[in-house]
Amino acid sequence: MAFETALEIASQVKAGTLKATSVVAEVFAGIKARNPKLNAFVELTEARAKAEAAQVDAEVAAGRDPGPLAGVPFAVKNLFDVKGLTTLAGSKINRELPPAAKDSPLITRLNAAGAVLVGTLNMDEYAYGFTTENTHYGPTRNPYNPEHIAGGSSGGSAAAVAAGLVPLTLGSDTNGSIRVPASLCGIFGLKPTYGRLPRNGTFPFVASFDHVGPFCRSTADLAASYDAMQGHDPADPVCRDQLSVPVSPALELGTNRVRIARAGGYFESNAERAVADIVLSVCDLMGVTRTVEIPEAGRARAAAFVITASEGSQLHIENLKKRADDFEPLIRDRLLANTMLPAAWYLQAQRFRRWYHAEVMKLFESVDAILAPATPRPATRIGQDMMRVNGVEMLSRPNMGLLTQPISFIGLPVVVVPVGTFEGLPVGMQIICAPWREDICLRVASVLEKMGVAKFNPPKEMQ
Amino acid sequence: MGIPTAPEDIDEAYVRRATALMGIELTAAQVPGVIENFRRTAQVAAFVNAFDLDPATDETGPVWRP
Repeated sequence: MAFETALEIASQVKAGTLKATSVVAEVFAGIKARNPKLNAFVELTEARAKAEAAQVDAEVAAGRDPGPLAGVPFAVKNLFDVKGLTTLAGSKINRELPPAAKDSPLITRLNAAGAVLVGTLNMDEYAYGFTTENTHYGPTRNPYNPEHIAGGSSGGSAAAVAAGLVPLTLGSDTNGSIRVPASLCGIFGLKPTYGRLPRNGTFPFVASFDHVGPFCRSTADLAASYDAMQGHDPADPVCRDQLSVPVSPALELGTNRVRIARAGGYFESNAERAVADIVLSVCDLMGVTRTVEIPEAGRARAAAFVITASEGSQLHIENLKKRADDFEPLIRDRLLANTMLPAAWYLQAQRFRRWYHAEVMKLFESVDAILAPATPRPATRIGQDMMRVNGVEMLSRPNMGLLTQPISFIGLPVVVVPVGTFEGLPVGMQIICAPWREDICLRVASVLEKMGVAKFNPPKEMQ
Repeated sequence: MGIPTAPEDIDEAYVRRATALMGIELTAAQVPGVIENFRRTAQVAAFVNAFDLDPATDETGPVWRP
């Protein structure tokens, strides 16, 4: 069962041929056997999961429909509030907070769809990283090669899905924290439009950029979980009251009349040649011949960096005053430094954001989906400080998000699909669409999957 | 103390005083990393600041709706 999709599990549970309680038992056996090596999970919710699974089985036995994700085991990045657990957000400091009084809305919605919560997952402290090298809780290891990173900051979320521990997890993405680990772990990830899914009930990072979304091993699972989670929540002032239209039925529409282009320029020069060539070959297979240049993408990434630095530091300023050394060593000095940022820098970055948004929206007048690599290269080794991209030596940790930051900067929806390997490790591709067009992202992903181009391949280490 | 006019001029005296304004007292161990990180952010910000936008006409990203 380890690598079955969420919908395959749900189908069997609803048919009564598989008990949700059996699924849960097998999931926990798998986690206990393999998590010590992976370090994806931080806490398990066994009693809760058994009770939820028993409830699903009772619904099925009574002839009722428990929901589209009946019996599907899922886990969440540990910045999501889980009732009765402390929301750690990858930190030591948060251990002192009281347990969450209630679940985050997205957990409630997945439960309502029949899914069963099994635990919480490792992440970079306070989401400020792309590698999930967490000093307090240990690094999360890449299921394809445990000496390598799983990406971040939702590394535990990606590793758990790639390793077959669970078929569905939730993560967050501020500058790339769903897309980077999805790419490095060879799975599917969805970062919806900024303001699509409610963020209340999650520990924040950068209010201007925080998004939440799912990881899965198939497009259909991404669509199903996204459909279960759609809906306005007025408790999140950023969450827009946008019409919720299920996207799962749209997967069958294919890409007829969808105008697709490849991102050139910055998105080509900042990816290792072999990675850019993988995206190029995907385009060839799809018959995509058009290239677009996203203007000033490098400056957009820089502006995202400045806004992140300012908002991220201000969030933690009280603890930086009192107990800076309790922060993750990899981010402590960055947070301290960024408390000093002049307001003029932040305002210029936000002003540039409006300009950049207007320019990128012009592209979407003649294109519906833009394809770009998700990461400059595959996963680096745990502890590696520098990496080489196209012959240029650079810091590895901040630059894993080179290709994701210019996109989340303006909140565009993105699906990442696994499209190949380089140096034996997976790489992913971003499918970027106009605001609120998650349906097009998922339709393109679905076509790529049917063509056999976007494919999850179970890691040999985990089989 | 000289006033930094470029990222490379940012020094211990500057970061100590600037963080003190925020109520933060840096330890000796923190100073080198703070200098390095602030210089990096300053270099990144310089790239953004070099883009010609007019505060009088170019609105910032977030728009407040009362």
